[in-house]
Amino acid sequence: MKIIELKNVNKKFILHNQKGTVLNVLKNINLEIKTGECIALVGKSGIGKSTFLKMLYGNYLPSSGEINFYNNNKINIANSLEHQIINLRKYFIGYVSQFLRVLPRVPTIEIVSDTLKQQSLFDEHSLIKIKKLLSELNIQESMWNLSPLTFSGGEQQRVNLAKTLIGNYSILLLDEPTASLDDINKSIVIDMIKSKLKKDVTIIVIVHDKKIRNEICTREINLEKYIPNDN
Amino acid sequence: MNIKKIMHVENLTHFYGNQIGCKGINFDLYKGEILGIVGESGSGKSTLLKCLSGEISPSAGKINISLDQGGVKDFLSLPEQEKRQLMRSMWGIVHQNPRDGLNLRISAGGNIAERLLNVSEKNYSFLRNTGKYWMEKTEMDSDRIDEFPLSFSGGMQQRLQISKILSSNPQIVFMDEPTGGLDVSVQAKILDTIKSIVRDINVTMIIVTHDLAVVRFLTDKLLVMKDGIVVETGLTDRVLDDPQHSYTQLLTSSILQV
Repeated sequence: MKIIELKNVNKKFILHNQKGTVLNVLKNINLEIKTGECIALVGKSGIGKSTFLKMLYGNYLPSSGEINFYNNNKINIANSLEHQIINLRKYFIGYVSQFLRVLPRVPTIEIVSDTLKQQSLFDEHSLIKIKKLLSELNIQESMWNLSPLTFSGGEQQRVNLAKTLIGNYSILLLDEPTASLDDINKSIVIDMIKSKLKKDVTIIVIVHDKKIRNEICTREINLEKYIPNDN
Repeated sequence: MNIKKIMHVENLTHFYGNQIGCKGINFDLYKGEILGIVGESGSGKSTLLKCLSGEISPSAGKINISLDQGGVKDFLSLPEQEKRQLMRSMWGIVHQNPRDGLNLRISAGGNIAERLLNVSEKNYSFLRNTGKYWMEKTEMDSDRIDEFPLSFSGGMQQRLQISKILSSNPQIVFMDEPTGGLDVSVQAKILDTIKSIVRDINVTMIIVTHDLAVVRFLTDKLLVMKDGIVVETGLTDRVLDDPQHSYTQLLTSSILQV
């Protein structure tokens, strides 16, 4: 079943304060993604893989075209009211950015709990579930009540993953989820992604390691074919 | 999903003599949404907030409100008395300086109770318990309920003001630079407190600030103002991360990195 559809999507950036420079990034994207697929976005650095993910999350605005999500009804994230996008993000689409972005002084365990609270899934079993997930991701118990902002890069990335993986999303957008992880933690995260796929979650991921792509992805989308000619 | 539209603003305009305060403002606010209004000083953001909260009467335009009771009302043409009553019981205004929103001659508990008395709650132990409950909710020490506002630090005064406003369960809360006068070290915790309360009670809120970090963490959508008009509007992180208008691009690229 079709869950995401891009129709004639174009993206350019106009830098008004830098002599009106126009950066044409992606052009004429037409594609469909089905429920349960695991898509890898590939192409050389700077080609627009993160831009592509951010457009799917509504964080970047396409210059033209439609990005439709099929839940119970169709919703075009490029042309929806703010509260509709927020609702979509709350229950339907999870996004793990390359870098953790949280309020200072908020403990790790609260950051992860927050996802469940937002989804109205927080109950008496939640803390056990959260602690289990943090342990599996090798975040030591002594750190649960600390803000992750002082953690190492790899630890922050795992908190960032925990924050989204704890939730019950239909679609996950993952921007280099294993980039700063050692081999042991990498394989733990890969196993978590696999178990999400077993639950028919649709995943779109940027991952440079070809071995990981072969292990989890069902299809690759190479963004080379969406580079505008005039670049 | 059908979320109720709680406020509809159309062509709202205010002049100070010949000087533009704000001009041609249009937006809709839905229940539970948090709207941020940003811009530099003199951009008209405080004028807009004052027009919306009823503190000043705009020169032109329309504000339709639709509260839990009473259907859609044309706010600007309500009789003055009805307007006042609505502002007292349904609105909540959190001022930048907590001393503007607190009664300094009565205790912390008295301040919270004062709001509730307006919505005709008179039971003493209920008032006191509610006071304690809200002090705890805003992470204050509820044992200090009988102390006067001036014995609290600036951050605690701001928490008290927020307790006072939220305790009466207002349908729209207006905040003017809620962390403006506070040390950086207390700003983050107050933002976190506001954020968690907002989620718990599903309040609708309009926040004016010049601080883009505040809007990023607190608001759902943004109006960016310059010279009295709105130059860009949209989902907060979209406006901040992919600004379309030249002024928004200037604003977001001017933030100092620590």
